[in-house]
Amino acid sequence: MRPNRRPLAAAWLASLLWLSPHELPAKDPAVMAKGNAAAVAAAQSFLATLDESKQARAQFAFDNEAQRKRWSNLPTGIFERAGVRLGDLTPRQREAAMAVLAAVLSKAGYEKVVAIMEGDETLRKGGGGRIVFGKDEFYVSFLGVPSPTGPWSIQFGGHHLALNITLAGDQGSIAPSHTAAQPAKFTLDGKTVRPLGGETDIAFALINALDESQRKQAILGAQFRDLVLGPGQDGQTLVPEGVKVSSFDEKQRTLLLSLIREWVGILHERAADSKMAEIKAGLGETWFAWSGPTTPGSAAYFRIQGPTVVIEYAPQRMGGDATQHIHTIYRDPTNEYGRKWRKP
Amino acid sequence: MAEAVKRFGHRFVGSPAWIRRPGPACILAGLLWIQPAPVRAHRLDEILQASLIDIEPDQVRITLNLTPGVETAVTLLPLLDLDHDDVLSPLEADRYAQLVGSELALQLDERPLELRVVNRHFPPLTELRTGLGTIRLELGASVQPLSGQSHELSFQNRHRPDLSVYLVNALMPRSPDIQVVQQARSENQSESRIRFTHREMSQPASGTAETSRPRFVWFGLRSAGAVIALIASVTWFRKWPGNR
Repeated sequence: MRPNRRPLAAAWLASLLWLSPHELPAKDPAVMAKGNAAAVAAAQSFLATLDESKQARAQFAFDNEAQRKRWSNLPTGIFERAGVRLGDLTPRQREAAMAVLAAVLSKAGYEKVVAIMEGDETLRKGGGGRIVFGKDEFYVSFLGVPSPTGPWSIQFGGHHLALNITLAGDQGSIAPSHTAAQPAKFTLDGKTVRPLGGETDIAFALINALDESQRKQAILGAQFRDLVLGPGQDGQTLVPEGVKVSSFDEKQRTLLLSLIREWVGILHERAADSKMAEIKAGLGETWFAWSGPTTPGSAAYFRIQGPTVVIEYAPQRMGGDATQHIHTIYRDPTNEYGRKWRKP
Repeated sequence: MAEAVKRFGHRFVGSPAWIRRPGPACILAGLLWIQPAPVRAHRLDEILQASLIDIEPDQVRITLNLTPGVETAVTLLPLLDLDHDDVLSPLEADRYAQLVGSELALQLDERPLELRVVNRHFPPLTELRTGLGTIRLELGASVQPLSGQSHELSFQNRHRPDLSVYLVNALMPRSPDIQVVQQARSENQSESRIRFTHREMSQPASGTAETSRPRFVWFGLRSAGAVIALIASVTWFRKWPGNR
């Protein structure tokens, strides 16, 4: 009698399907329009608006390590950035610079960046002194030549924002990037703006969705008053702590992925989807740690650490309301500055 | 009272001195107002001391980043600029690094380890005065060959506890022979205890000496069995009536 191999074949097929990417690339033409090709076109348009001197200031060799690592949370005057300063651009050039970001970022990511810049402007209007910041003090630069096949990088940053975007074909990474907000809530044209509102709200929803045993593991006994792997801490890998995500149920995993997407989703959808699939595949080895109260609206630190992602969120207790001054960092230990796509 | 009302009006009678004599208060308020915003936006009266601990089979390395807030500069700068010439000389930098090093304590399995400053980076004093500069110290301690598997490393930072906030974190060991099992910190992170295991160099990557020996014996027994079976088969074949 011949053995019945049909269940075996079905299992094999199922495993193949299970191993395939969890998130297929988006097919929406609007989404397809974004990405590397659109970014290349926008970058070329922006560079074409600049005179020779500004073009030279905006462009660096792809292997320029000094420029690659020249980013910070600090304001101008304390930290010297290179590239083209938005305040030195004409309205047309400035619009073209922002169009580069609009092409390379998702709609939500672009809005987040603009909100952080507006927050910095609000802070500046409160009194800048000799140390300058605000919307004019953001710098844009390119490493490598913008190319549809890549890799090449865009740096955009100022006080409370540092985006290090590397694009390579359909893929992209924003690791390492620093997002921050001060004030974390403000009013602009009659509307309330919370640049990091999504991150804050989902994080509290997640910690409160954990059961007692999971929360006990997640909450670290010590106070965390700042980021551990903030600017200047490239190449470090911490021993993971907290609760392992392998113990999460479906709802908890969904909340965690939504939380991670607040950072990963800054980049355009195709690259973000691909990265999220990678992070999903590593969820079994991902950890979630928390320090501070769990009541929504309070000041609490959290860290997400997996094989290909590290996120930290740290309210800053510096003589004011810590919930109104938040620093965050996003890193990818396997692909900082697009290392995977760079030639050895 | 009536005299006071006559002189100052109702508003100021019975009010605190800073309302009745607003001059000094106005000057103080003015000073606070003209203070640069980033000073209010960043660390003020604290020194952030962030330590990263890297355990290797033959040494422990500590990277300590100190970021003094603007209001701590008054206390901290005299410890740095010993001759008050507004310039930080290499000797002054060395002395401060040694001072900090002497106020860190590192113990392995309850035995003190000697920490030495390996490297240091100091920003200009002008930057430290703004509350935004970071001093980076790298320290190292040699470790005697570890015996046994389980160990505990403890670390205490006693530098300026009156002014400091601390962070302390274990780095993922680069050596596959070291595995951090647990790290515990005091609430303010001035102290930490790291439990780790160490696999000795002489031990093979997979399977210990204890498991290798039975494997060798088993291999020998299996080989001997195979030889005996072969001899028996040949003998039996030769004795078979048709094969004679």
